[in-house]
Amino acid sequence: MTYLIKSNRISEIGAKLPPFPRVIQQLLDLLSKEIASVDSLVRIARTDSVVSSAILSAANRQRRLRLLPDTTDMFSAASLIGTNKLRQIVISSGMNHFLNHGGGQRFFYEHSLAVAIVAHELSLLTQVSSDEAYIAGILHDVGQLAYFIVDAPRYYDVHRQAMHGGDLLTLESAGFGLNHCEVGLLLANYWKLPQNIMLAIGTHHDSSDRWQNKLHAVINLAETICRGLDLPHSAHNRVTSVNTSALDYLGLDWDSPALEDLFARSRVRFAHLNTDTA
Amino acid sequence: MHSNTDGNSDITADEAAYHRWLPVEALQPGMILAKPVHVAHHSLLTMKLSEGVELKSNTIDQLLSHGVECVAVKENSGLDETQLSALKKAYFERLLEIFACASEADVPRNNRGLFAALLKAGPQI
Repeated sequence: MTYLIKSNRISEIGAKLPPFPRVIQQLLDLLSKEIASVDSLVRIARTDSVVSSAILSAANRQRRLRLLPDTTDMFSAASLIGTNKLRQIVISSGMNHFLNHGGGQRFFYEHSLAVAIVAHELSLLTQVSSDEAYIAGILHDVGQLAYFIVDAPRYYDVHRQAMHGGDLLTLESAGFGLNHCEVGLLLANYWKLPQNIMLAIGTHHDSSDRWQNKLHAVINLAETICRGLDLPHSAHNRVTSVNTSALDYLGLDWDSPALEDLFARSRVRFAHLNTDTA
Repeated sequence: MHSNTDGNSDITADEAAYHRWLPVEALQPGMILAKPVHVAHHSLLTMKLSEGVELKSNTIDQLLSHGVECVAVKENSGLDETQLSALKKAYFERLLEIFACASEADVPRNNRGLFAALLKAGPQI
């Protein structure tokens, strides 16, 4: 029997997913009130053993390069890698297990990570909050998790059809009642994520030129750029429609040297961070 | 934290082979910056390094603590002309596949800007 996803069933689906990572909720709470410091980030990271290990591991790699002994002290490890990197490790490793749930697809996590990195790079050129861009980027496809809970084989079939030229959103709607942007929006609401991130998840495939704010345009563009960069590599990466209004809205130009650098930096950062959180 | 670098609009794909973006964690003392580094925190410039600066251990530590992700350093690709040309050809073909087009002329108007920008950026070397 076909199970259609409806808004009144979202709590039922949400309850079957693993709990939304507490470190991400804590980080979002923190960012809504203050600027994250090393101290506040360490307090959050200490509540999650996977995140703590990822931080120690990143810091000890650097210490070994300098022929220093490993440290087990979270504060000195965090101080060494700096708040910027620290935030990204908290988010990436916090989401790793969550996004790998159900479908067990490495590609799903890697694609989310790549969009987060490109969104972060775009935020630096467009005066968008870098933290919001990174978090919205890593969460943008979270609606797909629901399909793995509801009927994973059917979702693989939808994906296969999309790979052979079908429109993914149309196929998802036909198969499950709602596409992954709509499901993501409902799940984000269920988890009480900030409104701005919720809407970025809901509009990341929009082809319209009506943007509510820059974050939404950043995530939409980051998704397309990742496919174009083949990041992560997949035989199925396709760019069939670029929403150029997102580029115009952000005041960017494909010909600008800044975007050329963005492509190169995104590739390098993805390769590096992906090994950090593997 | 905001970090960025100034670009050089005159850099061609061939010249780009002679600089390489590296994560700060992979930098080594003695490497030469190929592009300037500007780090700003709340609109205040907190670190500035010019193109051509030789990196020292303490500079790398400062880049790390300022949260800089990656920088461009001067480095030869190590590939000869034949290898570079083969790499670029494969990259062009892969781009056509990604954009689902048989030739560059077939790329739809709305997608041409991104296609051209990716082509200009070239493959990761």
